[in-house]
Amino acid sequence: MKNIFFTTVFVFAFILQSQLYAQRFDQLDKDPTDISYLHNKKASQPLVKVVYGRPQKHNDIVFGHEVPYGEIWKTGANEATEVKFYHNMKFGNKLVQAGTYVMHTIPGEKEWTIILNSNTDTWGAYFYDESKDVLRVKVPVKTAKEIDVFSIAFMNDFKNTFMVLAWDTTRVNIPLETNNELIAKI
Amino acid sequence: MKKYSLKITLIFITFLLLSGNNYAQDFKDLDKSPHDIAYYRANKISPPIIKALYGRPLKNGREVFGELVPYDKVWRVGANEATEIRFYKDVTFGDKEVKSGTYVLYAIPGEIEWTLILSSNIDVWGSNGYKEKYDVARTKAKVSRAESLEAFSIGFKEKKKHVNMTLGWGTTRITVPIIVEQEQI
Repeated sequence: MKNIFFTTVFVFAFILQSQLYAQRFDQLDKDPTDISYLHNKKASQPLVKVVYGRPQKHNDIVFGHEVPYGEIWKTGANEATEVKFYHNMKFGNKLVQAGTYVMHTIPGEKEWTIILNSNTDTWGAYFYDESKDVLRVKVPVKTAKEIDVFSIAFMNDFKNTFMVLAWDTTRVNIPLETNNELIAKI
Repeated sequence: MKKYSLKITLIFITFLLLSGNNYAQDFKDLDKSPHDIAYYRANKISPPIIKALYGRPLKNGREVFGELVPYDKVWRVGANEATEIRFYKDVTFGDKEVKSGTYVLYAIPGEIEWTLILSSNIDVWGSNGYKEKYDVARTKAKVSRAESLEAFSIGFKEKKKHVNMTLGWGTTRITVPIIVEQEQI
């Protein structure tokens, strides 16, 4: 009887121990991380890099429903969305120094507030600290074809470059100015 | 004159069509091998010490190392954009001292032993951007075996005096000990 008891204890100890020593890896995220780059055609070094989580649409309405208006949103999923500027530039018509920032937004029906914050390597928007804000800009909302997966991309029209935040039928086009004259001026 | 205005109209229409294309935004689909982020922190709320940003390809019933990923060739250690490792402090990576900063991680897989490479040429795609002249450190690690993993994974595990960074895919595991330099007080 005693023998069985000891054997059982021994087996349990062994199982526990092997679990302690085994390396646990994360499962694949439901809302996977993705990377978007803005490249200058001539230079090999990128101008802007965004690392963000890509949630998928589950409800009929995303903004104003699944993502409420008027509240800080992590602008993606999981780890806070990170934006790296390789040069000084204008982001939403405001100057921003080269560096890495967390980007949060406050969605609204007609316009969004875009926030760059220096408190990087945080999870979601839970650690948002307004005192670490680097800039806030307001950008009007546009509508376009519905897309299921939250996307951040860069777009050029004839004159301007935009960082586009897109989900559902919502588009928020944040103007970027990256020209050399501007960089020289800063 | 009529001909002329027709030409103008045609040019104008073509222009409109083209510019319509320019304005339409194509968004990327979700990657088949999504990216993921692995952090090593002393505890859940402290600032990070090491961060890995990497693509996670799936095994999908294939034999991985020696087949899908050949031995003795530089591998991007993941999928899509090259795998990025950031050390927030100076570290000893395997047997090499490395300054704090961001590096691309490459590997040369082998049957018994792998070579791991840290490169300073960051923001590149896959192993296409690999150039030996940007090598910052090379270290070797022995292959060990564990239960089969479907998705390529990078994880950190704290030990008494160092942290292990483990790469895992299929039954293959590669573990590199990393010693984090303590701050001078």
